[in-house]
Amino acid sequence: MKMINKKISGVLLLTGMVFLSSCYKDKSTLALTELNKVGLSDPKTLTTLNVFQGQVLNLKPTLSQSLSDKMDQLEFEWSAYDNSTTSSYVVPEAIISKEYELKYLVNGDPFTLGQRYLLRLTVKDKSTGLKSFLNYNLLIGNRYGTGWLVLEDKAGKGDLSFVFTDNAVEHGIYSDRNTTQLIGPKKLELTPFAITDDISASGKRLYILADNGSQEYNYLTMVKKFDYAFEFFSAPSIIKPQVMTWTSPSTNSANRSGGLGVVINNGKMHSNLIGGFPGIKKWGDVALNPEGNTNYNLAPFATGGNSYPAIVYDNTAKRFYNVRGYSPTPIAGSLEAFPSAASTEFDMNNVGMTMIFQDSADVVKEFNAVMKDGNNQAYLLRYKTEKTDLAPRITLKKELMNAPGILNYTAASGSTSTPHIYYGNANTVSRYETSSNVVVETYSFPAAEQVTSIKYAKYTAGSTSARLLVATWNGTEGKLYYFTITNVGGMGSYTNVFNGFGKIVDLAYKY
Amino acid sequence: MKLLKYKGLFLFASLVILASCGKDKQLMFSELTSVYVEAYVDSTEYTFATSPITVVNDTIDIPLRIIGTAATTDREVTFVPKGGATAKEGYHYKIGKTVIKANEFSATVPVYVYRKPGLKDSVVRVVLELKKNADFNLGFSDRLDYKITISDILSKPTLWDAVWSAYFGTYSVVKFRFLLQVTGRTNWNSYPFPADTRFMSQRAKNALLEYNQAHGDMIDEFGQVVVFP
Repeated sequence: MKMINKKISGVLLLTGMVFLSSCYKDKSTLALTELNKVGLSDPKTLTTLNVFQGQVLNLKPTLSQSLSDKMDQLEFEWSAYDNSTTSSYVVPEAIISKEYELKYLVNGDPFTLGQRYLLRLTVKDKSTGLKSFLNYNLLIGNRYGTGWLVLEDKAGKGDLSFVFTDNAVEHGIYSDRNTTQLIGPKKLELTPFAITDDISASGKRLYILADNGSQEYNYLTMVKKFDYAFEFFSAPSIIKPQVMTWTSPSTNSANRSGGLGVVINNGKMHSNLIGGFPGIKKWGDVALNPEGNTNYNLAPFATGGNSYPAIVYDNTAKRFYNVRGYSPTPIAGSLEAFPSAASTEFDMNNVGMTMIFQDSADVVKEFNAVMKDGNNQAYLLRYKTEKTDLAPRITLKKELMNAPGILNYTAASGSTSTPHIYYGNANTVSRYETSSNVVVETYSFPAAEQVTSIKYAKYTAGSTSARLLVATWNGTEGKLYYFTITNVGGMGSYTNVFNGFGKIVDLAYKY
Repeated sequence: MKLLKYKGLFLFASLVILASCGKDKQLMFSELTSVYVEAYVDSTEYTFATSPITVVNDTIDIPLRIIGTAATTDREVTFVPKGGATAKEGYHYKIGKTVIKANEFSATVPVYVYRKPGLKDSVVRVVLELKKNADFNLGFSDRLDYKITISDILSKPTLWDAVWSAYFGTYSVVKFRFLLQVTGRTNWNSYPFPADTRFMSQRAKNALLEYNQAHGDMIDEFGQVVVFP
């Protein structure tokens, strides 16, 4: 029995030793060859790269090799694919370069404005077939996102320039990206809030008004989207656009939204209403006045707010109208009289003067209108767009203006910070103070330079102060001047000047 | 004796435990799929009179929906005219494909209607009803048929009082003909979008103003001056 046990123990011991011997680590390198390992790194991969259209994307990551330098054995491939959240991931990768250093002009396919892309560098060792990868995240942005858009007239044809926040200027933007000529440019209209009209995707709108019709342009790319006629259910028989804008029920920048769309074309009112309901919203037919006819001629200005969706002025009947937002009867978009309780300082329904200018005042929801009476005297009428049942009055002030040259102004803009209207005559800009009824400051440019456009901006990127932009034209060249406005409205002297424009006809801050 | 008892208990327990290993039949929906008409309104009164003379046919879409599961193959729905129809199939109308496609829960059945000379002075009707077949049971009992009326006669739209009178006032044939002409709208039996009514009411007022300036007041068949409120 003992003998048997010994035999069994011997077999078990032998088996255990055989098993344990397999634990020995084989250090043999026989038949193994060390391969070249390519290392790729770039701190730019840690964040999303914002790349602007028109910009050259230049990337050269750090490359290391575990063996001797074998650059001639390496193949490079830069590929990109749509990496947006909405991407289906079945879109094909686009190969954009086969060089180690990427130098690629981002302009059109395969990159779309606003989309996110994954850009991948693949390095392949031709001798072994081993591949190494490095991924970048790209966001295709728009370098024209924030800055001043400048509308110019170049011998009757329109063009756009852009003044960036770093004061760089780019000219010829319109002609660079649009094939349709802009004949007789008149005005820029940019909405500061998104418009959901279902004509196209919701977003801010850019309209350029011109003699032979305005057009809607892509707010980001400034490429033409629609003809003027397309914006209407039935295009007006005479095309002479003067205003194409959207009023907002709220003035708070967080709550602003498109209330009533206002087009003034050939002195006639057309309206458009958006607000979440289905269907395509286009501008409607000519509005009728309270007498039920179209015998009116609107001044090219429109205001509006919560109480009155839109307020316009008729230079034929010499009175204000408010525009009906929505109702079956009387029909939406009609020009209507104000209730008598709205008027005290002057009669909104019977002003008796011609409107020559209107702009926002220094108090929100209040507006200054410059009027000309039958004796060629200028009056300032101030009113507001808000009322309540307990306080229905909207007229605020009527005053004979002491503002030399205001009746012949060439450009003007109201301050939204201080009680001032800046207006231009010939080569001079005057600062008229609405509270004291005097011109408190003037600034003169060289005699040959005539003021063609003025815009006041309370807030602009890169400036802690309000800014006044004044455009001049000397017969051959347009110039644009920046004035930094003091907290009491003072202009002082200009802080920047930009050259090389055509005749500037309008300015708008794009953001 | 005790051992026998324990053995018996053990055997019984084992049998009980093993019995639980049997596959439970799941409570699954196994009824035959049903089908019903999904339209919010159960009828269409179609008239060619609101369309230009060049329009000789049109399509009425009838939505169907199923109760049950989608199938991996296309399934035919039996959707046929009820007896007593005055509209003749193949002449006044034709029913399109009545199929619930594979992996779908709904379908739209097109009914093609044709402008025929007789419709100028008569109205024809047909009621299409769903019938049970090998693939489908019948769904909700009150949503199994759809009535279609076809004519070429200008008649007061069924929605006039509910919708259009707010914009255009009292109905008259003269007024309606004028509206058809100036607004371009052909379907007056569907609810309009607010943007459409804005434009239509503005267009109508302007067109009437132009007409009255050129020809004097427009008078309807009742001798009343046509007005829009």
